[in-house]
Amino acid sequence: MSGDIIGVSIGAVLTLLVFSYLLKDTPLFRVAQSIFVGVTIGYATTVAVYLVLVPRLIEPLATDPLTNWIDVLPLILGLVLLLKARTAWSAAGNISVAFLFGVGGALAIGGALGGLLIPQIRATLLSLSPFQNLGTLLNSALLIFGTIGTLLAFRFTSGARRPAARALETAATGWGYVGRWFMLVAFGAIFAGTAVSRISLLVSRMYFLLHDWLQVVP
Amino acid sequence: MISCSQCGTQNRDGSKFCNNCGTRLAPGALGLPRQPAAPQGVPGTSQEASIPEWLQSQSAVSNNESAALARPEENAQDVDSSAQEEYEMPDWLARLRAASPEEEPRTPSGDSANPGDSPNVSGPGNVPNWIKNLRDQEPAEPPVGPAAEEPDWLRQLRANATEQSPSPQAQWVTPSSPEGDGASSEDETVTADWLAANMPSQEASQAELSVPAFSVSADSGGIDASNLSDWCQDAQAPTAPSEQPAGEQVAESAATLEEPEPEQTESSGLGEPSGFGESSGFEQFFTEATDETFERSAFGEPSEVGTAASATAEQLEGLPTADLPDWLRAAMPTQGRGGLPGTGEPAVEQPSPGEIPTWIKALKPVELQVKAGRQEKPETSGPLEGLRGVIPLALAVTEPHSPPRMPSPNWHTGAGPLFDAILAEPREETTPRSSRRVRPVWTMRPIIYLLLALAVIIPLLVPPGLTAQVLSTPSASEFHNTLRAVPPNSTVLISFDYEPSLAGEMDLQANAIVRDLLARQVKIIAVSTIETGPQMAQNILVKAATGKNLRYGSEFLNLGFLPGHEAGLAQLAVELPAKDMLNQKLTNYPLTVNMKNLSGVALVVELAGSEDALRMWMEQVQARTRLRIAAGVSAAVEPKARVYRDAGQLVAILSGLTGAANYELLSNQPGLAVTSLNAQNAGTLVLLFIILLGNVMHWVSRARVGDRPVGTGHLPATEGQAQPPVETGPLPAAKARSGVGGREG
Repeated sequence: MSGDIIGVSIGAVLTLLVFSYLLKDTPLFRVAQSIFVGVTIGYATTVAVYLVLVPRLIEPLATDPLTNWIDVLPLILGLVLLLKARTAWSAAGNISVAFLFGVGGALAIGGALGGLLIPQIRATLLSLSPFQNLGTLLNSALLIFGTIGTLLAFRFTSGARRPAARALETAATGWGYVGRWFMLVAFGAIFAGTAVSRISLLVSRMYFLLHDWLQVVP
Repeated sequence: MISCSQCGTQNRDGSKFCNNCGTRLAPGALGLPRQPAAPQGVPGTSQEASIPEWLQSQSAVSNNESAALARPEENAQDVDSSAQEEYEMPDWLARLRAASPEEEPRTPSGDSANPGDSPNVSGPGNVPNWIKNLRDQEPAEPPVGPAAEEPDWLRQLRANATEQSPSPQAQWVTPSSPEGDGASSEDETVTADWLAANMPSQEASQAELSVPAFSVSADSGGIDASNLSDWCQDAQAPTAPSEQPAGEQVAESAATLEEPEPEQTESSGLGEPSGFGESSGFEQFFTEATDETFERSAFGEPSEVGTAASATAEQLEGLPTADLPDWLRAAMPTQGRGGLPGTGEPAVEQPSPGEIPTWIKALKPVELQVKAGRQEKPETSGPLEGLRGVIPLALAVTEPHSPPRMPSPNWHTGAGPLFDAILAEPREETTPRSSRRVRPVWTMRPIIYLLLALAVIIPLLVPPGLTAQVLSTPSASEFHNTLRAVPPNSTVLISFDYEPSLAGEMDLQANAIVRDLLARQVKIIAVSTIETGPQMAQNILVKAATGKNLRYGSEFLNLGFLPGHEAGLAQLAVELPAKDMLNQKLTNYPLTVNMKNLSGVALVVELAGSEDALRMWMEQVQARTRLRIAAGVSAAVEPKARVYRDAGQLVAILSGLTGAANYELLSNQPGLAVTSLNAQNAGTLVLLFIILLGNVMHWVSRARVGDRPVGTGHLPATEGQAQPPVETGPLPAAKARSGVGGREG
């Protein structure tokens, strides 16, 4: 219990130190910030050592190296990567960097195609058939109209001479203007969600101070 | 043998320097009198005893030189004898002698007695080949005769040349020395070769006639001693002593004792007459001056000058005037001024080139000089031979292509006064900092903070029963229904991918979901792609399992941190990690003993605090495994998660604290999320009120300043309002202050 009180008290003090930033950038805030950064890095390092390196690399090689001989490769790549710290030897670390960038790039590109681009294109191929539900029809029509309008908002060409082309250009410009408002609504939604999220964090901190530390809230 | 006064080494007769120590040998060793025929009263001679040794040696050499000048015959003999005695001659001197094998020996007659004669240039062998060729082309007997046989224009030219004021150089170059009468006419001719243009006397005209190549230059009349450049005058200076009498030269040589000149003594110490080396220089100057005279002649056409040089005055006079080119007609001052003979043209007063001072000529632009020279250059071949200036394209090609000079900007011209005006401005009186009162700036920031704090704190103080019923949102219902569809004893994988900073929002969702699943006997496997995620997951799992007889490894399991981001998730889509958070093999737990990959997972719940975490799951896991994934996201990530939901990649989403409260109510376990939701709603309302109030105040203040001129208010000019012209260029603000251009007032 005493341990909880100390921990809660430290957390409450650090919370107040962070709130001091509302007045101005005080040294108290800097202290709390440094503590958080240090704790985060220390904890991440500890996790990387005790949950990644030791159980997944060191122990397999130490206990059964013949079976886990393939783990020598990441070990070598990891050690070579440390040579990046010295300028004269940094070229040797390029192998590890190239491996990381190559694997990361391949995964990112492949994942973007299969997990983002193709599904999103498929999602916009909506049906505007009047035989479906009216709400679905309106939703699909609105989604298509907004998507095309957003794309037309980034259209910067002009100078059509023929009347038909000029009329089409005028329509595209107006449609793009509406698409710009679609984007503004989307940005407003993102801002509202962020604001609500931060208010939730404020509530959580207030509840911690009033309930856990001061215990004035049941 | 000559004994060296420095080291006592015996040197051969005629040696100038000691072979051992290099000391200059005593002049008496040459067998010449130490003080030859020096006139009385010559400085230095009477004070020889007080002269230092080095000066005595210089004096000896000078005396030797003087003696050589006084007795050229003996000197010449000494030189010859010294040459026969294998005198150590310098290489350049040897080459010089070798280059002139046809040099005629100096005659021991009165020619050489005249010190002004330069032996090396006195012979015809010194005349360049092209002059010889010109002579060969001349008539057999050049009309060197009385003045009556000369053409009128030549006499006029000579008369004009005589009228010019002779320069001091012309006086000394005039062969008026006592021995000048005894000089041969050939020597005079050679001497007048380069001085012909400057010599206004009768000898000049004779030289012109004898050497027609230079008579043209002399006829031009544009070159005289006063018009010679400095370098030309300097080149003439060495010949001056040679024109002087021997006695004067001795006096000057003796006078050099006071001012020793090593170069002069060395040149004279070679055992050669003083005029030897100078004559070489004279010869060089002779050649250069000849070419220079041709090129800088008033006609400006070397080729035509060369052509004219081959004609004598009589030939020019005998030519029909109609065939004469313009430049030659202009070069005939007598006929030019009085009209060409036979043409009857009126006399035209033409200024001679010599009337234009050199310094004025130097002011002529180089481009015009080059252009004039090129325009006058005639064609030398082809059908246009003899014509000039008929191909302007050649000029356009051959002219230097330099970029045109851009005029300097206007501001540059006024930069000086502007800078002075800035410097002249009085400095602003700075008040002491202590006496200045800092005016506090009143802002609404503390009020906003206070309103938000009250809006959040007051709902927390109100008992939960007094709050209104929380309405369920469709997304939360969908999410709840999705989890309700998971049958008991099934396995749900929950990924805790949010930072501790978002725990106040995301922990409420996680607590509600974990409690509901465990309550319905759904097994949970936790994992995280963030280092801090496993511990938060462990806390939530343990807290939810406490008091429900749920065991780790049987009902719930924590796989821990999944490193590698995309690579780790891609690997997870293939197979599960070998060990859990506690570093125990998954085969040791009943929950995962038969589970190799995610195929045995009924649902994946992604608790994403950021967009990247959700995107990685969509791209690396959902696209590969086609698993059913429901996402509980932060309110800030909801717009992004909605895209995946609309595309069907997510089966359901739960957003923020509101979603957590809805889920608690739907699962009949109200808790902290419901309590916090009231505070959040109050805070959101206050925030909305502040935003609206701020916008209203902005529009009101904008309406107030709408009638004011632009720029006077605190609001910047917006689109559509007239803006003052923006002045570009350097120092626009400084110009405005100093009143130099720009805006006024």
